[in-house]
Amino acid sequence: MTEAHWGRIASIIGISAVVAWGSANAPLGSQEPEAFVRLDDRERAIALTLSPLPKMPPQPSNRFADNPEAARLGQRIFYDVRLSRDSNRSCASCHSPGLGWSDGLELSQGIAKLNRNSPSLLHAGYQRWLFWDGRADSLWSQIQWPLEHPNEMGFARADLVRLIASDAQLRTEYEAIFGPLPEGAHNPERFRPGGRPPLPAPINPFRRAPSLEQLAESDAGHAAWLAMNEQDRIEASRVLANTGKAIEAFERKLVPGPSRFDRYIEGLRENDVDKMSALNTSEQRGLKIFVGKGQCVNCHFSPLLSGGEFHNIGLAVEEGKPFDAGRPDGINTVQIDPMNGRGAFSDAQEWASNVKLRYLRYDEHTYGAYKAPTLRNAAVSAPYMHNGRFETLEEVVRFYVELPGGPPIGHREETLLPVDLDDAEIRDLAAFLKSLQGEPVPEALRRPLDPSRN
Amino acid sequence: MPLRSLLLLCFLTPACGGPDRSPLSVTIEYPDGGPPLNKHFSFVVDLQGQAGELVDVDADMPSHGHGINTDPVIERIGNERYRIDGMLLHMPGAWELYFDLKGSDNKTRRIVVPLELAHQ
Ligand code: HEC
Ligand code: HEC
Ligand SMILES: [Cu+2]
Repeated sequence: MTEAHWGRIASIIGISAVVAWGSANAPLGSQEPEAFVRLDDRERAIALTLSPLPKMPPQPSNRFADNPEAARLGQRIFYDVRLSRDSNRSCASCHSPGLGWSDGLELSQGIAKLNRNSPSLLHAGYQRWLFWDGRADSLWSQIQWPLEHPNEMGFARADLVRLIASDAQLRTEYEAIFGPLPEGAHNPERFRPGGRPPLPAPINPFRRAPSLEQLAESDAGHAAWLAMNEQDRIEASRVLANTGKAIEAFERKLVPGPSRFDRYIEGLRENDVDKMSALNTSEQRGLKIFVGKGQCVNCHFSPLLSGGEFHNIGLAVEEGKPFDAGRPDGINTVQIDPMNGRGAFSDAQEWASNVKLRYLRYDEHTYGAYKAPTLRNAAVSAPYMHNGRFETLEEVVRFYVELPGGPPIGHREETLLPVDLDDAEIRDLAAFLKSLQGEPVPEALRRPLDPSRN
Repeated sequence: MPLRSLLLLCFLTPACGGPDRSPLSVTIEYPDGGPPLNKHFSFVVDLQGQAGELVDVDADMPSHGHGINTDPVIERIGNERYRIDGMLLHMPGAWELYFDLKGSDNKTRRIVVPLELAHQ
């Protein structure tokens, strides 16, 4: 932080910084039409902080993040089924534009069944941490997980090098952005079939991580990686990172247009009754609950309707479902991930560009905590929660009303108290959540550039 | 010139000095606009003549039963002045900031500064 910055420090009363709820009166005065639900000053002040959505934040660790050619290449690759071991699935298989950029399944299905629900990719560019446990700190580094996990796409970075080298169009576009592919990119003796390193594994103080040699004994992909020379391994990882950077540039464009809710808030701000009628009365009652007695805004605040941090809301593991620690594994993994913002492939490796890693605290109280997702995609991303536990938004709301069961691990945050809502209010709150859905992203992004490869 | 403001204070908790001690106070200088919601920020603490050295800074939301998700780092920038980096208050609501001061008697005393963080 520079001197200049400190020179601008303003004076703030830090204690009990009293909340200025604004003096603004509700717009409709005495002859409030029945169609409008009145928010009190506090509710109104909170509601105004929920819209509009700000600009996409910068992404210094990817200098191609806003490069249109990179986004185009990213789109090409996103829909390309050749990026899987069985040449049968792409990113879009589990993040399908027609299914809210998710897959409609409780738990995702890759080469094998996964143990988590697929999140929508809408607004992904705004996320501080990726995945339900936050184990990735950027969209570009995120792709190593689906791409190389044997249960997901089962692909490998060495195969990716050869794939790009062998496809004239991919190669031309890739090289125009990132420079030449590594020497020998075609050569399976150098970029060996299946060659990939082990995925970053959380540090376990009680167990020494197995060596690559040990892992190679039971995994042909790791054996292939072991057989590659050091420089080629680095080059293959660079190609993976660059591919991720192209995909990130594409994903950053997945931002829906303003929703009916945004229009309503604009009206609330401008005292424009016409705009406010974008929400019907049921949705307005739902909003009032959301910012008021429902206390949803404790965790689902700001224009994303989520702080993007991690909470234990006590969704007990169901019978027959795998154990899932949640956030602690995410913290331990992102810190040692060679592809994190501090790593060799980041375009901004200094601490100053990586404050979220720099100050990240390991805390065992985060057992059972998951990322609070943005609710802007709620209408299209059913089923809900990290384990796809609920099929409808009514069911989700009913969960918050009843708070059944306890968390399998850790303890439910005391923030959460059962919310007292009757059936009509439950429907109102669910209706409100659906009104957050914005205009779909442009059709041109919703389909492959090469239909034959989808 | 940093305009300072903030104040201080201490609530008479045991950590905050006994009957024979005057209440502890610190001055906090937040960045422009006050402590931000759910963003990393840095701020300056001035011990205002409190005997001791600032050894730890932390924060909790007592009514929510959780703390912060970061480990703030303390850097001494003047005689009684410290810069704190890496603070992140990730929810709106009632927070308490904790400043642990180690005195020459090697005992640690805690100054508690309540902070109500609004939706922004
Ligand atoms: C087999 C299904 C499947 C495939 C294929 C797949 N994903 Fe995912 N994706 C998931 C699941 C499940 C999660 C959540 C996993 C977790 O949190 O541990 C996820 C999470 C994500 C996230 C994090 C979103 C957030 O808000 O945290 C992003 C981004 C993402 N995937 C992008 C991709 C990209 C890019 C590809 C292609 C390279 C891809 N996915 C391929 C199932 C899939
Ligand atoms: C203590 C913080 C907290 C509060 C308060 C809270 N939520 Fe959540 N919410 C979360 C977390 C964390 C998740 C993800 C949990 C998981 O998957 O295990 C979540 C998930 C959801 C989802 C699912 C989204 C998806 O895409 O899967 C919806 C919908 C939702 N919350 C709505 C609400 C509503 C409505 C309220 C108020 C009645 C509320 N939340 C209150 C933290 C909170
Ligand atoms: Cu809290």
